[in-house]
Amino acid sequence: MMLNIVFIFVVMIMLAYLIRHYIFTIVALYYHHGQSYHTHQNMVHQPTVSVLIPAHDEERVIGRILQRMTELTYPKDKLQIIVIDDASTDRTSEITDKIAEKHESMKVVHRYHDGGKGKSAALNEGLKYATGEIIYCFDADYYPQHDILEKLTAHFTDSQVGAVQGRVTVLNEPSNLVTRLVALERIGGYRVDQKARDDLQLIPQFGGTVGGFRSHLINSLGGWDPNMLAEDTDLTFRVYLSGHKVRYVNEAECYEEAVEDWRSYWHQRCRWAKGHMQCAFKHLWPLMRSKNLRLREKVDGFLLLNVYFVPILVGLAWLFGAMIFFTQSSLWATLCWGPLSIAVYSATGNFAPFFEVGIGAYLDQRKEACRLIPLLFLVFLYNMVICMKAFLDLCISKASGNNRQRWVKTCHNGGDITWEMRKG
Amino acid sequence: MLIGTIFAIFFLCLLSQLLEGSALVTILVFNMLSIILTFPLKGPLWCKIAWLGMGNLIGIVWNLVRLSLIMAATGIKTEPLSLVNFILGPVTDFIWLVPVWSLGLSVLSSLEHQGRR
Repeated sequence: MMLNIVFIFVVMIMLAYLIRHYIFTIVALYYHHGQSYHTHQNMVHQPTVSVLIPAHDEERVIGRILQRMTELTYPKDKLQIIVIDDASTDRTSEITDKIAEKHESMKVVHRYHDGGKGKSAALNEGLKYATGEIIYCFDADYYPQHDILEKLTAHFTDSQVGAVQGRVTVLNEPSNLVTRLVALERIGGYRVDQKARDDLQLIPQFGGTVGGFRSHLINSLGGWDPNMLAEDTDLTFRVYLSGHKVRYVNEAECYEEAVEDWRSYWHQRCRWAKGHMQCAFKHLWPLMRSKNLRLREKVDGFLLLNVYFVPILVGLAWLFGAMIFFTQSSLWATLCWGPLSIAVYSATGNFAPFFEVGIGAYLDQRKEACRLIPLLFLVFLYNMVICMKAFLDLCISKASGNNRQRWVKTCHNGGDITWEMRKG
Repeated sequence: MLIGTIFAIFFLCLLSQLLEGSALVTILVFNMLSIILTFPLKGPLWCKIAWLGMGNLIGIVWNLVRLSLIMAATGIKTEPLSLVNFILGPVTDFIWLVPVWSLGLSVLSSLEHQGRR
């Protein structure tokens, strides 16, 4: 009896994710309300802005983003660029100093002695020097549109908006199968998932880069939490719990370098999974109790926080189903098996399910990318193992009281930008 | 979408004579997804109808092959085979949906792109 109850409960949760994903897909198809980034009376909102770029051993890519920063169309007298050289051992310091010498709006902060403690600590250091009303952060391997700051900043005319998030597109997509699959995930995650959450006024997530905050808000929240692996998810929920909201801006595109091999994919996703689970343990109860969030935001927040537990739930549900088969015959098991299968099959693909990814690829006119969608099922199986490992690591570290997180840096190669720019 | 719905009902009425149970459910799911997710997209109508028909045909073939294998396994009558069928059956039931749908989407996108040129 107990097994049946647990099995039905797990199936219900899977169905909730299924419905959520289909709602997002349908919103992407049918909801065509554009996002204006001009203020009332067609004025453009342009407060002072500080851009933080943390960099640890990024000699291959740092020059590219700094050069791009000098090409941004945002008024130079209102723009401050702060590069945080976080205990780099390669030529990052030399390259950043050389470029910053030529540009007055650019400042380099070197962390020789107390650096190397992760991105959050580096960003907090940069925050001390930021003078802008809006603080943005970009990772060193990114390449933004020239007018990205205008598109993002315009949304701060709404006083309730505490943070904004732009769209991330993969720069090195043609490199190999890994990058192509990651690109598909990004399409589903941003073009459909994030956009639908913004359109439906749910909880679009700040992704850790290509995004920004009101200066007074980020300072009042105490900056980035260095103990959290997923500092972006943590900040998202802290923004909402403080009574503000995050806006997703689909037109504000930035290009990133995706991981190029399965080992790097493993490390990156393991970090995301573990960090996300940390956030679930930290924010779930405050989220449910908060008076600053509406019911729909709480429901979406609940599903968002627990999304990395889904692959584990899938595995458990399958295990329970098999146990029920062996130990007892049950009408419920038979009835639930069908919906579970539909839910699992439709909800897989690293949390950007097949149909979300397909519609996103179609809307982006990516006809050849659609053919790779079935391979996402294999990626899901890989992610299932990643999530289980992340959960075990987290449980072990909590049980042992060892909260020290090991930061495994993602290597960047500084790929060719011309492919992405040509695709336009 | 209305035209898609009419064709989908036609295919389902036709196939309900041939299939039953989980096989029919998968065909039903495929048709519903095609109507909601494919027919509203830009692209030639004939392509959408053709892929709807093709998908239904592939669904029939897939389920007939699968059911044949199950019947052969049942003939052997072993518990492990029954367990494998119970566990993997729903996955193999649905596994053809996404590849067919995504290939159809790719073709539709290509034709729509050519049409615009």
